[in-house]
Amino acid sequence: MTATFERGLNALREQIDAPVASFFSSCVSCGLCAEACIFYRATEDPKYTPIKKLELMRRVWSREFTLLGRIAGMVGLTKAPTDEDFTEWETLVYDSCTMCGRCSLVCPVGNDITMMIRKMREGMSAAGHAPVELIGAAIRHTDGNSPMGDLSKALEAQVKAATAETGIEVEFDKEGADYMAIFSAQEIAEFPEVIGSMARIFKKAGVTWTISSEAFEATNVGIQLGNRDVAKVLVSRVVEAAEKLKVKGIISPECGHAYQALRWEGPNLIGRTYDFEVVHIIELLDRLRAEGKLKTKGTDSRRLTFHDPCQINRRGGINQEPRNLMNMVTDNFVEMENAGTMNWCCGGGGGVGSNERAEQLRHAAFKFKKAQMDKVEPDAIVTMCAYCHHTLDNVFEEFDIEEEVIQLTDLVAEYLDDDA
Amino acid sequence: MNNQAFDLLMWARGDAFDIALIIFIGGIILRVVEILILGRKKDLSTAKGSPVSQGFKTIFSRSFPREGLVKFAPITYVGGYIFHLGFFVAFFFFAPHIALFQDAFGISWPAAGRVIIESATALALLALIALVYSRMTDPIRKALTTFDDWLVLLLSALPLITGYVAVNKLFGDPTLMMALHVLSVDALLVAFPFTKLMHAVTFVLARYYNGAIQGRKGAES
Repeated sequence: MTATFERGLNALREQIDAPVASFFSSCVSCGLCAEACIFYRATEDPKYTPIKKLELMRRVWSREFTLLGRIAGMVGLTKAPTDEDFTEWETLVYDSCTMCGRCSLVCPVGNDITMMIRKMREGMSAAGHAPVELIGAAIRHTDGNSPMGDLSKALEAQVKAATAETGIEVEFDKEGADYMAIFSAQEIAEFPEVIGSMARIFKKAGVTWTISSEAFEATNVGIQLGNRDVAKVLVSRVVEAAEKLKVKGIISPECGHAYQALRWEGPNLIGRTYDFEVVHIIELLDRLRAEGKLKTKGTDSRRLTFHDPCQINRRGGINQEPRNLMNMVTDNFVEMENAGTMNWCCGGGGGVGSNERAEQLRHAAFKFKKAQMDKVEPDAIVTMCAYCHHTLDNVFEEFDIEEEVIQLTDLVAEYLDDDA
Repeated sequence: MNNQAFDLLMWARGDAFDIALIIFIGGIILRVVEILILGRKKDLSTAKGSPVSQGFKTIFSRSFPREGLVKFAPITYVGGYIFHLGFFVAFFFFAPHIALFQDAFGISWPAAGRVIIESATALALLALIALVYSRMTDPIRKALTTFDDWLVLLLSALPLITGYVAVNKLFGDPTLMMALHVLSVDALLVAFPFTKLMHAVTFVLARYYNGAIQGRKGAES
């Protein structure tokens, strides 16, 4: 028994609370979670049945947290988990789950399987069984300022470019602004147009905003890796920067897990509530729309559909807001089957997208997703997560599919009424 | 024979039942306490929706499947509903059962007619057969099924079978059949807290937690 294995087991034990115990106690192995899972549906391999991905954690719970399980363990009726078990479960927990949350919504006894996967990853990573890409990203981000390495120069350049293009100055480290914006590394590196879009929208709406040069990165690999310590360090940086700049709120960008990390897990990670608001960019835009501060002119007449990012809609509760905005700037908006809360994942969330080992599975999941998109034959797909955007772009390229993916903020900015 | 069967029946509904009931109630308390003492950390995030009310709502709303899902696992969904409803009707609305509740707790309610009770029993049994079939043939269910699942299916089927046989005097000595019926109920009671039968209690907690977690975020559950 190694020290890392023991640490992993301890981390797993620490995650077992009343909800977890009630979930495991309630499972009747009906298997309905399988039909909700993109990886099962794409492969039809029963090993991808969501509750089965938690078998190792269930064994720890049963052996150590139930009287009968303890007795069974003592008389040798059940086996104690081993390091080999951790190795075996690593791919199930990291490669075949994007923590999309569909299983948690169909389980007839109400098990939040996704939440347990998040918890099980805490044990897996502590035991040293996590994808190298996620570990690498965690090291780069904790040592530097982003999971992609140092992005500060890139951000400065993108902000300068946005200023040049829009004629609107975006100030760094401006104390007392209404909001502090943070970005997904994917936006800074791949989709920087959003900075100019935000500058134009906020100027028109009379919202002041700034970017902290100390904490501009929104992604939080600690959530995907399942490492509370890493997640806490990264959340703390953003919280401290916001407090230093005395802003009223932080704008969480078009990034799924970033919203989950800062809005829902953040206060629990740092052990206190925030004295500022965390608002998702789309929530804010919809609020400005409702207040009459966001005025647009004309509509996009292409056939557009909307891809709901799992962490923002199903696991984040932002469902109607993007639809209000879509209806404002488009006149040929078509919804996919299962749109909204039950939308299918792009296949790249929960760290699966950066996990090379999972490529084949991700492609299988994508084909499943693509079939759903094809049914509505859209001219372009709109979304509100830069990583969904990145994942879709990548697989489109892989499969030679010419389909445009648009960020909702950019789409809204395109129809902004500059004269209003 | 008859005397022995009668003695067995008296024991099954006497001492054995009392012991079974104690294990049943004590076991459930133990299992629920085992869950609740683990507690959960207070959630410090500012709620967008209402965790408590959505938690309670989900206890009921999760009884209905999400749109479009039944077709993917028809046996599990339809069989599951028929079994639960059939078992519930046969257990709570059969006049002799109600009489037992009347004796024990002094409360009673209207009984269902014989046709309803027998149809419910037969349908519940047919549903159980379908569920067994799906556990033996469907790859997902086959891979998930453990000894506990077979035991629970057997323990749920026995009271239905023995009850049906005893009431209709289909075969065997009616007193012996009735003794076996009560013994099967004793077995069900004893096993309940320590098998997956326990879901009939803990689903309330599980659904509440799920609804509360989602409700806090203003997300659907």
